[in-house]
Amino acid sequence: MSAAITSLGAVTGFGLGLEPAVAALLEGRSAIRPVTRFSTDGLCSSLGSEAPTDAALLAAAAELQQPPAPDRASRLLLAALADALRGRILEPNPRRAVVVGTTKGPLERAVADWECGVAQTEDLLGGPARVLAAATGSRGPVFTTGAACASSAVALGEALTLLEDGCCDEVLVGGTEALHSFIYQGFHALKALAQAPAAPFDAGRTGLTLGEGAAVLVVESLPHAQSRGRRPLALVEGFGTAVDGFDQTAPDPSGAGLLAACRIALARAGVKAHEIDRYHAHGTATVQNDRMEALVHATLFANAPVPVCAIKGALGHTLGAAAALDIAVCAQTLCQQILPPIVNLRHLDPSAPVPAVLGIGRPSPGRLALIANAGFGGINTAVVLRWLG
Amino acid sequence: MVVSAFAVWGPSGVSVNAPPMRQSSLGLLAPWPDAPALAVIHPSARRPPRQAAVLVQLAHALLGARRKTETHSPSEWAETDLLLGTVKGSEAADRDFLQSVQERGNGFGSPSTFVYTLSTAAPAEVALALGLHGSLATLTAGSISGLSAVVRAAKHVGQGRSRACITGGVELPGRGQPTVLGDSEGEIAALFLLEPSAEASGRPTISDAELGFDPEALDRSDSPTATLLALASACAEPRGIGPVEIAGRSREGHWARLSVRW
Repeated sequence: MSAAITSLGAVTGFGLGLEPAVAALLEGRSAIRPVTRFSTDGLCSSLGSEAPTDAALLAAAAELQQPPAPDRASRLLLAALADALRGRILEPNPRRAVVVGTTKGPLERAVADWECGVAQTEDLLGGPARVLAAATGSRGPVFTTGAACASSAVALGEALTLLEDGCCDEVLVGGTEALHSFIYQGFHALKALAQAPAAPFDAGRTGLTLGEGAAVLVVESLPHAQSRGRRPLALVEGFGTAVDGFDQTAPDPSGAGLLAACRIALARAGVKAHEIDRYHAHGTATVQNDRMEALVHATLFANAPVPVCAIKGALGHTLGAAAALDIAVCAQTLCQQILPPIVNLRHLDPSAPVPAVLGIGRPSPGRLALIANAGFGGINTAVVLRWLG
Repeated sequence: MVVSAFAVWGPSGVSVNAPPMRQSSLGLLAPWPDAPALAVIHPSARRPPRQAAVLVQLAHALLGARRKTETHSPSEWAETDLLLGTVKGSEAADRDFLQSVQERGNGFGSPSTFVYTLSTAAPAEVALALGLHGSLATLTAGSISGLSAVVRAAKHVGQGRSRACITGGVELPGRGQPTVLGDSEGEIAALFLLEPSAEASGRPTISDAELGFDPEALDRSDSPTATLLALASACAEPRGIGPVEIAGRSREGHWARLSVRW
């Protein structure tokens, strides 16, 4: 079953809004800069992609006429919602669901409690989803998905099944992640952070750069969208997910899990691999990920030069928000019939040889995209998007 | 779809495909003297934290109980999905990692602890131990996260999207913390194996599974322990000829319900 994406919104290191982020990305610019929100003293990197200040996020969400969100992950999400709606009015609706993917959600509230010795008695992780539900009067299922760095892809997968089950007409799919010193210290401990900005698939890359942001996708059943005269920006035609069962942090070097996820998504979409016009990579800029993805690309497409895009050199790795941002950027650039470049990629790693889009955005007439995401725990997801023209 | 096996571990003990023990005590999980040894069932494990170890042991018991009667090959079980509900998530690991940073300094957090600061890390350990390659995710919806996960898993299996799914809930914050949103409830891990009806006869079926959200109707709040034990009890023994409705609400407005019928 296809579902229609009828609105998209985002907040990224480039600021408020999806369109400015895509414009910057197409120019080959990066939002990765020195981190300002906390000290990186003693850590192996000082870089990140920070979203606008809390004050700017609150101002952006003012038109939603909601109480100020109590945490940064929710503020990011509401600002992305405001960008997605841009005047579109959502009436209270018992047949609208909300599914949000995040890894740590309102982490700053949890850490503040723990540091004071206060025991939490709230469902903090589910807070951003409820904030989104409150802002839109959504009364269908409201829940939060966790699947590491594929969390918001799984949120989209759940949205598809909610629509397929017939219990909802539309689903607000969100992905949100706020940059926090806890996360930064953790990736430092894993020796995964790069000293230079992330450069996916580049021979000189040294690891990933963390980022923060949020994206909101309004996803509807196609008949529901058509009955209201809404033209889909893109159709979500397939979703697949599979687990490596290899390691908690390292991807299976054979790529078997991601390959399985891609094949499930393609099968559900009724699409053959050779029909895909672009591959939107997870592209973390770690050696393990990039080599694995290059192998998956070669296997899946039988070495055909299906163009590879990736956004983490521009936006950083936004963890639970990463997949939603990938999908939003991919849908937007499909509509514009342009391929976004892999920012910071200058010298392709011969051990991860992919037909990468270099430099700046380039025109592409393709209609079908395959978006891949992967995360700790060996979780892999894939989404097939179609532009209707 | 059917509940082909279930297993519950609470403060009063462990039960597998049997009525859960009345949870007369509060606090941490009871010792499980007969628990399968991690070194045997998950030899490649690198000292997983308690939450992961608990899930691995309970999931092993769950599939072991199912395999006594099943005819599937191991490769078919490899497609099994994991969808677990949790509101406390990785809190115990989060606090341990934070403590490691506070004690050793900004750049010296424990990498092996950080790995487990994701809600999916513990269920991922189950996938690693038991060779599962299906989907893997957690779901959070207040205190009824576990019941909500069962509802979603039931939909996936019922609609043919999932060959089989290990679902349920796990709340193991450890450290003697309040386990459930301020309620004086014990820790809980409850797993249910859902399969298409054709795969197992003589087992309870789940129907009428629904989720919703109504923040204005805050007439009650149900704990993870209460809803998961109610579901396990309904799966354990027939109660008359009619279906048993299991319903739960969280204080934030999440609600879930399903029917169990023998």
